[in-house]
Order: sequence, then C-alpha cells, then structure tokens
Amino acid sequence: MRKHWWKIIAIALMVFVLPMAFLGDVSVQIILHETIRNLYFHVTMWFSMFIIFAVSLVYSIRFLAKGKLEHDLVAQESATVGLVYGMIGIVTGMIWANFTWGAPWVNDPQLNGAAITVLSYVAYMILRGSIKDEAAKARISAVYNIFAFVLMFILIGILPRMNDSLHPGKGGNPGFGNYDLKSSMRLVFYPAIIAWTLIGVWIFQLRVRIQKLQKQ
Amino acid sequence: MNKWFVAILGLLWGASVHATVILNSDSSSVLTADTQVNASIFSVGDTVFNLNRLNRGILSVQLSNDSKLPAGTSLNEKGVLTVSDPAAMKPGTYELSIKSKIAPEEWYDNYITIKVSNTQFLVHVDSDHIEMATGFRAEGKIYVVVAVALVLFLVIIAFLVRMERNVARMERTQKP
Repeated sequence: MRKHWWKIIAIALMVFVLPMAFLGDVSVQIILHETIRNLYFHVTMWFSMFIIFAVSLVYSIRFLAKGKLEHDLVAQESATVGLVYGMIGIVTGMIWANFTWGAPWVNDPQLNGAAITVLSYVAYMILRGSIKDEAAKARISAVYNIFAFVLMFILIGILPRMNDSLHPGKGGNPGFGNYDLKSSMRLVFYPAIIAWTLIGVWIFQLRVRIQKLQKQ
Repeated sequence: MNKWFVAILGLLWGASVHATVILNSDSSSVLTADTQVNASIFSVGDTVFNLNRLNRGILSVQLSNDSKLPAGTSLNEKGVLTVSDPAAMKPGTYELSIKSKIAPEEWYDNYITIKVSNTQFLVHVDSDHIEMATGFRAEGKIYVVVAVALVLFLVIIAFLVRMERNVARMERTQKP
C-alpha cells in the first residue's frame, strides 16, 4: 500500500472525473456548446505532458550531476510518455478545432508552438537512437532535454500570449483561466490534471522497471 | 527655368493645398463624449430593446464582464433595457453581450450594438440559441456515454494492474 497509494488516488480521481465530465455543470458559450467538456481531456493532456516533461528534465539534470544511468532511464521513459500525451493533445485539439473553427489545423502561434514542441521531443528520441555508447547517449540527450524543455516553455507558454491567437486564453480571447471557468468546472478540471499525470507516471514507472529487469 | 525653381514651386503648391484642406475642415459636426444628448427627446421608461420578447420568455439575464451599459439606461432581470435618466445619456457606440436563460438548461446569446446620437438611438441585436445536449440528458442517453467512457477507462486500468503484478512478480524472482 505504501508503494501503490498514489495509483489508487489516480483511479479514484478518474472515476470521479469521467462521469462529471459528461454530467457536470459547464459554462455555456456560443460556438463551443457542449464541446467545452473537451477541456477535461485536451487541456489536461497538455498540463500533464508539461508536468511529465518537467520530471524528465529533473532526471536529466540529476543524471548530469551524478552520472547514474538509472536517472537517464527515467528521463527517457518519462519523455516517451510525455510525448504520447502531447500527441494525444494534438489529436484531440484537431478534433475540437474541426468542430469549432471549421478546420483541424489553422496557422496559429499556439498550434504551431505545440507542434514544434512535440517534434523537438521526437528529435530527442531520434537523438537517443542514433548514439550507441550508453554513457555518451545519456549525456548528450540529457543536455538536449534541457534545451527542448526551455524551447517548449517559450513556444507554448510565452509566445502565444504575446500574439493574437484563435486559441482560448491567448491574445485577448476570454480564456478559460480568466472569466469563463466556472467553479463547477474547476472542481473537475484540477482533479483531472492530477489523475492524468499520475496515470502517466504509473505508465513510465512500469516501463522503467521493465527496462531494468531486461538489463539484468 | 532650372529644376530647383520647379521643385520649390511644386513644394509651395503642395503646401498651399494642404493648408486649405486643414483650414476649411469643419470640426463642428464631430460628436464627442462631452456633447449632451437632447434630453427632451427621450423619456424615462423608453425601451431600447426587449430581450424577453426577442428570446421568447426569459428567466434571467447575465451581462458579460466587459459590457458597459449606455449611460442613463438600466437593464432589468427580464432583459429589457430602458431609459432611466435622459439627462445622463451620452452619445456614443456601445456593444453589449448578454446571455439569457430561457429554460433551466437553455440559453440564448445576444450580441447587441447601440449607437446613441443626440436625437435618437440605433439598436442592432444578434441572437444565437446555444445548443446544448439537453435532449440527451433528458432522455438518459448521457448515461450511455458515461458508461462507455468508464468501461474504456477501467479496461485500461485492469491492463495496467495486470502488468504491475507481472512486473512485481518478476522483480521478486530476480532479486537475490
């Protein structure tokens, strides 16, 4: 139980979030209508991805400081899970955009930033695959991870806010963070982020353990 | 007639054209916020717009945060904007966004532009019925959606739990 308590919390939170996502009270907005419920899936994916990439960054830095290959393994696996979450975020975003904006993709700073972020972590995977020596692979990819994280922070956290964007929350749109996120939505939104993040952590932790077993 | 002479002539001509334009422009017809509205034209209780009739029966209204009502008017909870103080009215263009609830789960979104001049006002209202899944919820179909989502999730969790158990078993047998 000491090892598994957070997994139970993740499951419990998701069992709360999933029905509330469809049955709960939401802000009524033109254009969005019921699709605002995608907030609990699409937006939470991005928040969870950010947290998991932050974990990856921390372990990359820990590896560079101590040199333990285990840390590099955690950095790699958490980057993998974060990347999957990012791709889910992009696909759910495209579905949402197709319904509300009329096209699955538009030339928008937020969308372009998200796409470049995902591509930069794909490049991280390719970089790892291209180096044979374990220690060199770990060192070089750890340094790249730091740059990729900073790039992500700028591309999806800073640049879209400075430009006009179709995307809610950026460039003068009444974003969900400011006026329109009702308290009944926050009640589901924050637990959803926690739940999705913990599930992502569970998945990458399993992958790390399997990799360690395979090495022995 | 050298080129400098022609150039200076051209400059003088251009300057004189600009000067006449500036001196002759009539600024007396520009309405500023300081000019007063002819208060005798409007009386207390004049309706500017009536959302209760436009949306066919309103339970409550909600004015958006960035909407400002024209000075000298007031909005009642049935969505009727009336003149309350003709002397306080100021000319200008006002844009309002008002959401009206017509049933416990149904809303209209109204985008209203009001242009006040010193003798009249012009009102334009755009109303959108915001479609929500009230039918789904009333018929109970929403519970099917919830059930499907839960089943999908629980199957994935069952898979994760099984993998967790296998890995734990392998770790136990591998440990010396």
